[in-house]
Amino acid sequence: MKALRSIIEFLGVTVPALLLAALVVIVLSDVIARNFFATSIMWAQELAVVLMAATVWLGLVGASMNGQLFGISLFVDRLPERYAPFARLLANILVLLICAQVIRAAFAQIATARFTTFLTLGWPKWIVAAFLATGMILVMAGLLLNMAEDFRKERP
Amino acid sequence: MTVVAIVFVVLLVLGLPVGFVMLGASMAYFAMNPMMTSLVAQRMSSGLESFPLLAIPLFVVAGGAMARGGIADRLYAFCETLVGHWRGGLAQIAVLNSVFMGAMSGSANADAAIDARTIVPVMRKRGYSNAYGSAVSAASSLIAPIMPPSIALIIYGLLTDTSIGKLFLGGVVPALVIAVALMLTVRWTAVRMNLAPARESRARPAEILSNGRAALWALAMPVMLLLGLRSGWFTPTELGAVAAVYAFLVGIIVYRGLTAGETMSLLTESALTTAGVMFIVASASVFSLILSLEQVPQHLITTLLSVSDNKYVVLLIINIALLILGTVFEGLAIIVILGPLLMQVSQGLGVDPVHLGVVLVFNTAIGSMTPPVGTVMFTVCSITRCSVEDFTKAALPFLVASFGVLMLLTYVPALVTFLPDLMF
Repeated sequence: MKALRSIIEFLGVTVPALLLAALVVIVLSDVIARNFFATSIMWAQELAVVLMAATVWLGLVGASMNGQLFGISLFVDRLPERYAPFARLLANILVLLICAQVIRAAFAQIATARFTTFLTLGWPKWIVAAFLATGMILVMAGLLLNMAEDFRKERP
Repeated sequence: MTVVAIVFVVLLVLGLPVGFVMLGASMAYFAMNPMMTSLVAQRMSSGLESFPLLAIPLFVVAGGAMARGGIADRLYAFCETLVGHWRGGLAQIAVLNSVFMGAMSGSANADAAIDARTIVPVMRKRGYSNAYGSAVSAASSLIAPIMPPSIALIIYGLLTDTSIGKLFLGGVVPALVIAVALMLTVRWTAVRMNLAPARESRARPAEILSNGRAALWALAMPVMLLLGLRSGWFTPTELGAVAAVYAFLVGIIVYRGLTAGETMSLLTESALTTAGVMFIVASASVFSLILSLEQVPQHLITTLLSVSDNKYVVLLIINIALLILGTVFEGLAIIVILGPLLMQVSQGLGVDPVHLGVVLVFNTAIGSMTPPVGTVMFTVCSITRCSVEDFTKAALPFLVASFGVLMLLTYVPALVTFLPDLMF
């Protein structure tokens, strides 16, 4: 459990932070190259877009595990104490189902967009959908991990 | 569409994150309609494949570096010397501080969180009620989404193909008008509640000058923004990277407030914030596809124009509808879904897109501090441990003042368009 949590946290928190730093550096390098060396880094914009997609879909895991995704808990919080855990469990199961559907959609996208590439980078465009699928798989793993830990704590 | 609406409400009530609510409702639609599943992933991916959208993570990093690198402290001290001697001085400082912080963070939530953590505890110590401090923090954060570099204005500009530079300039005067209205409201409430000034006497010019000099690196940022945009050195998106590195260097070299550990923590926080915001943008782009397929935009436009062809009447209806929607929807989702639709309505009536953008963003910002779904309200209340009921009561005068400013901005378009027309 501990090892799995460490892996998810590394992929969902540390990696997005490093990708974000790379994103800032690449965009700034292009500005400097254009204004001071009269040249442009052709692939900078496309790489920055890929980095942002990776930051968002991997960062979603960290945001989800740290409770940073905004939802309306007002109604569930007001439920009687005996019903609230069931409502939370139902909400978690629904999130898992939605993630599974997005993963299915992402794989379908990878299969259909296999031959399109980024113009200057030459990388296949499906890598963005692959980041989306990876992010959703990790969100599911993180959520299941949290649910298992909560269950273990509540067990007498 | 009825099933989609039901699924949407059920998921919202169950407390799912807003992004998942929109995705879940979209999945319900695609389950009933034989369409390619890959459309969902295609919309989510292509929703992020935009260079101008990069401005969001870049400005989030810039705002974080400003707050952590010591610039926020200098700004607070500078504001204290300017308005600390007024009635309800601490609340006045909070509002003025938000003008400067808004010029860096571009996000109401970020600004509200900073105020709730830093100013509200001081307010409580000086005898202000927790609810009042929370309400002031939330209300003053309404300036941030209007003041450049506003994340909401960037998203609106991208979706409606409106110049982001013009939108940035269009937000300057309205942000100042909001600040003045909030300061007058603070003064009125401070007299009624008998709140003391933060300092006994007015600061001497030498003290103001000294604190102003200390905050100069922060105050220079909006000037840099305008200069860089006008001279064509960088685009609004690239400005985000320049601002982030500028804030980072000032934090390390000038103010010495950033360490290696702090930098990693700043990047982590920024990455997670970016993920939260962009997830809503990506999910809303899937949801807006369903609205388009069901011809909701056309119905909306026809309905609005059938009420009246007078643009002032239609603008009033739009404002009221948005205020009502703002109480149950997340502001960014409203902008993504309704921005392009309202743009079509406004074009038919001859409303300036920059004017519409600023009004739309401010309207949704007001919604962010009203129950039951106010993101800013929840951010502040979760930090200050204030109940939603107490918060709502204390925030009422500020909501009334904000509504007044909204009407002023709606019916006096020159307040928005004057500066962009002058500069572009």
